[in-house]
Amino acid sequence: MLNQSILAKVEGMGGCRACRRWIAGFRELESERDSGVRVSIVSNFEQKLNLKWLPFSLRGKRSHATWLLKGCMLMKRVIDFFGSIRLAIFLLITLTFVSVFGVIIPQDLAASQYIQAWGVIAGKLILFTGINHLFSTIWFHLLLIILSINIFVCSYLRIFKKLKTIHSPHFLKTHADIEHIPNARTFLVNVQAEIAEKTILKVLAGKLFKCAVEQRDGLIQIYAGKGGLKIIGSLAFHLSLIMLLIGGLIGRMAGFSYNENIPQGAAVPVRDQDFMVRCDWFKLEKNPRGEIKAFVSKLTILDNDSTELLTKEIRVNHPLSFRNINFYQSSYGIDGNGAEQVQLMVTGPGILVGFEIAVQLGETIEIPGTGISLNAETFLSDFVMDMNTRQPYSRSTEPNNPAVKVSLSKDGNLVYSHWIFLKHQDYHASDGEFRASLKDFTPSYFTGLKIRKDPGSPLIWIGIILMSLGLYAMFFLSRKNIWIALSPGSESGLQVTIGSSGGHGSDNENELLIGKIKSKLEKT
Amino acid sequence: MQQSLATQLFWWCFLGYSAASLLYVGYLVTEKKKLALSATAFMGIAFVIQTAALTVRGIALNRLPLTNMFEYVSLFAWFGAVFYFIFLKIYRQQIIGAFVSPVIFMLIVSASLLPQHASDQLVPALQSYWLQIHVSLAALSEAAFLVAFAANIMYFLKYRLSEKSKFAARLPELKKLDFISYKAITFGYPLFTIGALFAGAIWAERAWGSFWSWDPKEVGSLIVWFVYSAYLHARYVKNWSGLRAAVLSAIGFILTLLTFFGNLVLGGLHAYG
Repeated sequence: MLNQSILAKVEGMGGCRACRRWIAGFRELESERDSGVRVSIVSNFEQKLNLKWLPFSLRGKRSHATWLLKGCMLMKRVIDFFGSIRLAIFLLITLTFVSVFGVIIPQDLAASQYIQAWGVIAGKLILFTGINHLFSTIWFHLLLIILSINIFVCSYLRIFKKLKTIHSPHFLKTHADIEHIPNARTFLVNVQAEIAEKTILKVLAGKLFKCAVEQRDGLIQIYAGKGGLKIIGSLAFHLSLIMLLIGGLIGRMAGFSYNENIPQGAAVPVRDQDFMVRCDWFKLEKNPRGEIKAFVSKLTILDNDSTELLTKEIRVNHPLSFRNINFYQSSYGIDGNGAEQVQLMVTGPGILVGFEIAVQLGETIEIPGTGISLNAETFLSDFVMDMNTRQPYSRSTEPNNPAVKVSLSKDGNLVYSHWIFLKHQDYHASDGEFRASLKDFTPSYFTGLKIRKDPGSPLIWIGIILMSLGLYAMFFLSRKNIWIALSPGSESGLQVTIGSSGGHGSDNENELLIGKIKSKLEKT
Repeated sequence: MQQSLATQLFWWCFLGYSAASLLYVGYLVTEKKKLALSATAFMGIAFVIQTAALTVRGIALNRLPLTNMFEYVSLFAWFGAVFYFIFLKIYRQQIIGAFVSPVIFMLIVSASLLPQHASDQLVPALQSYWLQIHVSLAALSEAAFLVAFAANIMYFLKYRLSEKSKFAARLPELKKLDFISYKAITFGYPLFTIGALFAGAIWAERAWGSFWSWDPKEVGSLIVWFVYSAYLHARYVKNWSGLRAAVLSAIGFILTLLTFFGNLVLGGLHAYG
């Protein structure tokens, strides 16, 4: 026959519904056989329990049933494992411990830096285990996945099942049972039972209780419960936690994020999309003290035919969103041109003392009435001269040594063409009668954007909102059950007993409620 | 100009909190009720002065004072003082104040070591209403954790000291301390989740394009959240209470302190001076 020890084990474990039905079926057939009825356990079993959906036939293969039962037991063990609080605590502690490593050991540095800081053995260990990019390792993701499964199974086994208890009234047996509830109160009022019942129900409804009434043996019992929302809140909270994790995973796997520096007026294509983004202009706003107030870009989205689809000014905290791609104002910098405009001071015959003029880079400007024209050719933020090639270039985009190549012509004849320096006013200062010096410049900026696609974003938003609602329900609502018994028919009036159960610290609330009911009854 | 007035007021409130703490220590040692009452008076004076300091600073800088480390720690201490008064009113036991007040004082000392000067010009990343929401909720929730921590310290003392000790007799019952710690955490936890984590994540997405960057402070806050989540699970599901719960809660608060002082050392996105 079937392995009796396995049957016994499954019976002991409870088993799932299918297994319990099978076992019941087997027991029935066994008892029929024991009482002399001729049965073929296997075929009768199939018939009895309508097991046509079995992937293989039991005919002649009694051991298959054993395998199925064993499989069922295994499933139950796995579900219990994934739904255990112990696993949750283990995961939380492990995640905590692991995250501490992620804080103490700096992330995403070059490999050599770890070996330098921690020595060869520890350094290589860090690189091998992936601690240097802890939060993007497979095993960290695995921990989060197991945590999600754990939360999901726990939610089903522990919270979802509790939902059924919300609307099922739980009446007590007798008046005495209610009196035995701790903090139960009994008092007498001179009111008819039906009126008392109505009054009490009204008070309870006002306090958001859900009530049920039972009348039995002359005893009217009211059962009120509240806080079912708390269970729903808990479910919402835990499921939304999973939503956040999934949203994050989707974003990481199906999304992208990269930085793009765009000079003013230039357009670049957007990764994987059939449109481009153009930076119309960039402005650096400073306050009167010279501190940076804001940096703003005007962006235009163009499709491949250069049709303008969208234009918007963006600044930090105010990104642009187009077809699920977000453009964030992330940074800025001085571009290859270095400056848009230079402020030159020119001295010479026919020119007022201290005369200054602003010249756009690459343009020629004439000083009116003098026949003198100036051209600002090139600007370098950090001028150095390569000693081998004798070519000047900019060492960096920092304004460490601003310089501009200036040509001055009088009446169409080139007088001189020199590099002049902001920080070295006298160098190359003059060559003849005329002298130009660099007084100031307006930097030419490019805008630094962060371009990002995050398909997981809607899920994260829903998760955040749902989790906040769940938190509110769990922490700011209270769960309470109240039993009230009314026994009419006594000489001195109606006997009212009120007992309640509640969470921590609900004693005050209970006192207030009982007081209110009492006063309302006494008023009628 | 007004900033220096705010600074002066800060030093007066510093004196007030130190006087209160000293008086409380005296009360713990000598049991003289008068010392406790004067301590409360000094806490009140210090609180009023600190409120004035924060207000003046806010007016001078034209915004709420919560953008650099100094301001944050001051705000945290101020919320702590608010809770101090609330708990004093509910429980009417000076001795609870005797433990909350020194923690507040330690925060004020830490604040005093941090650079106070701030410009009224916020860097562009901080120009957002999320700043107010995120920082104030974080400070408020952490102040609630502070109260739980004070209750835990009292719990440990009462637990370790023998029953014959007179000092232990003056501490509230273990059950009550356990309850205070629990209530404080149930108040702080949802605010911390919504204010420190969610509001922070949403703001990060608007400013830097990413909800969560595994920055040291973010990870630190997550660790604090894990610990308090474990605390709540242990209480609800495993019915932990008493000593084990107090230990877990204390660990949570110590980690909270580490998250903001760690930032000074480790840098990261939150290093705003």
